[in-house]
Amino acid sequence: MNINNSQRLFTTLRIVRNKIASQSRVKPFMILHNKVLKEIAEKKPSSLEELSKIKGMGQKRISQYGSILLETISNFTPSSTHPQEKIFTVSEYVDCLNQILVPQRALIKGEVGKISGRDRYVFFSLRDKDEDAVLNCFVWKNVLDNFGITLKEGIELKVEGFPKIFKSRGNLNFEVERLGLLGEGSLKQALEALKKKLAAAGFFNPERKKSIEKYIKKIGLVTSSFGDAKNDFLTHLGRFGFDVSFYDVRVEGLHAVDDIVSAIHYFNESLSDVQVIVLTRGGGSLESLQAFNSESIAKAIFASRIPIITGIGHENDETIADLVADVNASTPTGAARVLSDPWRNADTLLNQLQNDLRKSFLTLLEITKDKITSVENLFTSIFKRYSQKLELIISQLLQNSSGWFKFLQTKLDQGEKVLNLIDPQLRLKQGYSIVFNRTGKVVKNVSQLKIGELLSLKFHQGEALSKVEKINGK
Amino acid sequence: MESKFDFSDAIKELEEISLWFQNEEIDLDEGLAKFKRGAALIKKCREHLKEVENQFTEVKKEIDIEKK
Repeated sequence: MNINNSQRLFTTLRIVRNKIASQSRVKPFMILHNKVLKEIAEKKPSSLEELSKIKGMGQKRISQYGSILLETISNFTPSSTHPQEKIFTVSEYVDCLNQILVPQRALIKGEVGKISGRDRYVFFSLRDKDEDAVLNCFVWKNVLDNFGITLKEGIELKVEGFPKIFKSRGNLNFEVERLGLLGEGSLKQALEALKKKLAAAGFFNPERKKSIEKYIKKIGLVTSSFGDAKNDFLTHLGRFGFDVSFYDVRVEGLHAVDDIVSAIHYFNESLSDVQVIVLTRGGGSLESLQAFNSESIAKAIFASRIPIITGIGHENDETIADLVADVNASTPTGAARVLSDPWRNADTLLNQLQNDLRKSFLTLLEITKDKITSVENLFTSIFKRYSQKLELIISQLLQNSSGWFKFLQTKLDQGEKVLNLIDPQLRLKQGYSIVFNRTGKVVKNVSQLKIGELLSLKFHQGEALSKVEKINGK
Repeated sequence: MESKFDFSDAIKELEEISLWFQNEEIDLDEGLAKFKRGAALIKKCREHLKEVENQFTEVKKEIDIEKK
């Protein structure tokens, strides 16, 4: 195989390998090293056995990539004297180039040059300060918003992304997926601008902050497993039977924003019995705390159903995350204290409550005793007062009894006399008589009488029947 | 006894009992019942404070080599 052909086969194999790498989102060298590919291109193995003789082709790689490598080799047509057998269309060739370019992810720093924005995306150039080198960049507007960055000519940036040729324009752009500011000045400016924006949107309003239960058991811890913050927090938490679920995140660099936002979502969606989320990291420069000053994290904290305590940096570091958080505990230790102090003081509180309870109950007993005594006294005094009055009445009655009886006797005599005066028997005795008609009624007037009517006469002694013969004075 | 003891709720109830005793007119029977309940809650709270060891679970390890 001539050198030209093995070189071409090498290029083809590389394209295949890079495609696999980009599909499985790993760096190309992790699939197969260029060195291994070169040897394959030179030896052109035609079976798995031959392939396995090549250094770097272990059992695992053979089983993963063996068949596709052999297929590529068998499909490869060596060029004859005229090497332009395969004619690409422009589109095919740009695709081919992009397969190589896109996996070349990188983190690049530079100064922003020309900017031309559209509705949803922005083109800008990134250049070195001292050297004459320019990289054309492309970024979606929402990426800029998420990282809270407003592009301005002259600011220093670090950008992460990948190169790509835009087919319709034919030029190469670096597509920015993550970016951060460099330089204290622009960081401060960006911070102030975002603060203003979020304050206007009500993100810092005290009335919308969620309250945190006093006695917490379940904690969602969001921090890095590296660094002191995690240990500071756990050490100062004390031993009060906390249930800590730890979500490991990067707290610095361009991936920190995504990690932390995912962690907050994770607890809200998958571990919703967590009573509080603690977001913490140690101190650092304004640049290293950049993630905590991003709009994305501010929004995630704002939207979290579970209350969030922040302990970020040192006492005097105040990030946007701190301002949005429900409780800003300043440091990892401070956050631990907020959660553990109520438990630490619980014993004292219980003693106090017990004393209060005992005192209250004793007071209640005293009051009740007093009440009983006073009711008793009331009865005694009533009894005393009334018994005195009764005694008075009785003695008065006894003293005046003789006069009373005389008075009664006189009254009785008088009554008898009156009764005697009106007794009809007495009248009859005196010679009067009473006339009744046949129905037994006393006749008082002649007008009721008829000639021939029978009347009975009652005398003092005996009765007589008579007949009306004549009526006068009718 | 409740199936699941909640320390916060117990403290809240104790504080309510404490407040109840501040009333002007209170009934002795009710007072006795509250006193008994309070004493039981305090006992349970103290028992609860004895269980101290923390639990630690790592729910997500964000060491993602592929992304780096």
